[in-house]
Amino acid sequence: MRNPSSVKREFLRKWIKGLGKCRLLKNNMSFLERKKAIKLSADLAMASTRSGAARWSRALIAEASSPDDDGYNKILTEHIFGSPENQRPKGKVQSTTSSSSLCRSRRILKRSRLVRKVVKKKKKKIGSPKVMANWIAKRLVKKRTKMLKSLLPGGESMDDDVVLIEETLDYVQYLRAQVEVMRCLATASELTRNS
Amino acid sequence: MEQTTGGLPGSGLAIREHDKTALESIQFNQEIQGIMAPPPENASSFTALLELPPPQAVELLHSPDCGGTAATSSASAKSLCQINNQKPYLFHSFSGNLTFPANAALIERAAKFSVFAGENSNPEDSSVVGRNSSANLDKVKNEPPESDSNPSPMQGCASDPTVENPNQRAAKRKEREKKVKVSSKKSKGVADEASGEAEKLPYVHVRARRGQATDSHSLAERARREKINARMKLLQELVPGCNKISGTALVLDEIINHVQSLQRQVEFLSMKLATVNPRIDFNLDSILATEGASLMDCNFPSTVAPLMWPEIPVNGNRQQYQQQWHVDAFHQPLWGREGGNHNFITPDNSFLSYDSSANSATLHSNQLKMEL
Repeated sequence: MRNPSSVKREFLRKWIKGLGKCRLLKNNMSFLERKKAIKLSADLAMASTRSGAARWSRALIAEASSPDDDGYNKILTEHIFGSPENQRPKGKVQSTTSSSSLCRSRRILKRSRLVRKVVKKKKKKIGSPKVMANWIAKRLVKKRTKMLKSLLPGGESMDDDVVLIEETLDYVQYLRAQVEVMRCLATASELTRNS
Repeated sequence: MEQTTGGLPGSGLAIREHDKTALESIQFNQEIQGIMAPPPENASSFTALLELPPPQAVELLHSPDCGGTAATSSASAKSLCQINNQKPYLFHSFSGNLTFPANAALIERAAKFSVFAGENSNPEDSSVVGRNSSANLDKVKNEPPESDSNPSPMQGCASDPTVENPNQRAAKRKEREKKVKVSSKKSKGVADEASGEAEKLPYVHVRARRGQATDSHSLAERARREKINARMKLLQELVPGCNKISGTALVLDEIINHVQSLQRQVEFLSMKLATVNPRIDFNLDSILATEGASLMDCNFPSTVAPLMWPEIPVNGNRQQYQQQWHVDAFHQPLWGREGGNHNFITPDNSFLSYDSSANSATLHSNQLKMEL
């Protein structure tokens, strides 16, 4: 893994910067808004630390800058990334729309294929128990890959299992780093508040 | 002479064994030209097609200075043994089936291409997993060099298409060697492999085991499955508690649980941070002044976590999980700092209890699985 402490350091730096920008945007934020801002800037910092080399990071930035829930996310993202870099989020938005339509069409295709397959399997069900067990195992694995895809940012568009697993590996490592840094900051700020 | 990979079956069906010699070498070259886009553009004549791969091969060889001066196939096989253990097997199979010199030269060239690709991709250590996997390589029996070279270009960082193509060519040629008849299925399998692996791998070593189908479909599938298994092994080592579990579905379960718990922790921590600071100003200077460099080392989690969790009776299991996670993933907990850390346990209780109900369900199942 690339040097974990340097990753954490960079993440922390970017996160603090992003948070500072959020504060400039709106001074008195409610609790939930604050939490959202913190989480969002943490996610974006994490994704930009990864520097877009992994798909999930790009997808994370894209869905953060997509205009939903009254555009709050988008505003924050643009603010965090700064105006000269506004090109990047917009480009990503286009990619999400195209990829979402792609996803939809893929999902329809998959569903039709799945239905046909299920029918065929039911016909073959009279086969040996070994075959049945195999089929059940495959179904289980498929369900879990579907769940994993829903968890991973941008996972819906990864049809290939190999890619999915690689992205998961990456994402897990980065999530861990993020959790560590956040926890460090939380306890440190607790200490400063108490002392 | 226009030959595409799709056009090969037409000529292939006309092949009989005694005509194989010249025709097959021609076929190889044509298919090579079909796959590799840039070079064949100049080649219009048949002989030009034949002549293009060797000089190009020589050029590619000499550019990275691989030192491929092995004259005989056996020598090159030995040099490649270090890179891929499966190579000698392939050479043996080749010498068994095919007895004409032209193909031996082609084999050599292909072997050297794989050397080139191997050396090219190894320095690319840009991926996260690359360094991780280098430690874990020995455990991944199936394709040790592949898992070493594959995670490095994992991010889809482009090796040269001209570099990849010779090695795809090598892989495909091996498949072709094994089949007696050229059929349309093969060309489709080739196309699948080309599209499926063009962006990821420098080359694939597919070994046809004894008594197994040498169909290109099943070969490609087997390669894919082995790749997936290698990645799954890496994931198993990353996620704590997965090492003892066998079976893809259960391992995937664990991974999903882990990712979910990590995401929930992020949520929870962001909420906690939101309460700690009435306005989100994290004054790094003051934080660093109080704590010094320890913040950056992040030794805090390892010291704090074991202390925070025990206060909550509901999360008795959770403590073990977190402890194991931290001690495994990070280094020595500084137990000497216990004394100073008690003061912030009480404010956290409320948050921990809030989150416990959400997390305890999944964590409980985790614990059960771990204890099994």
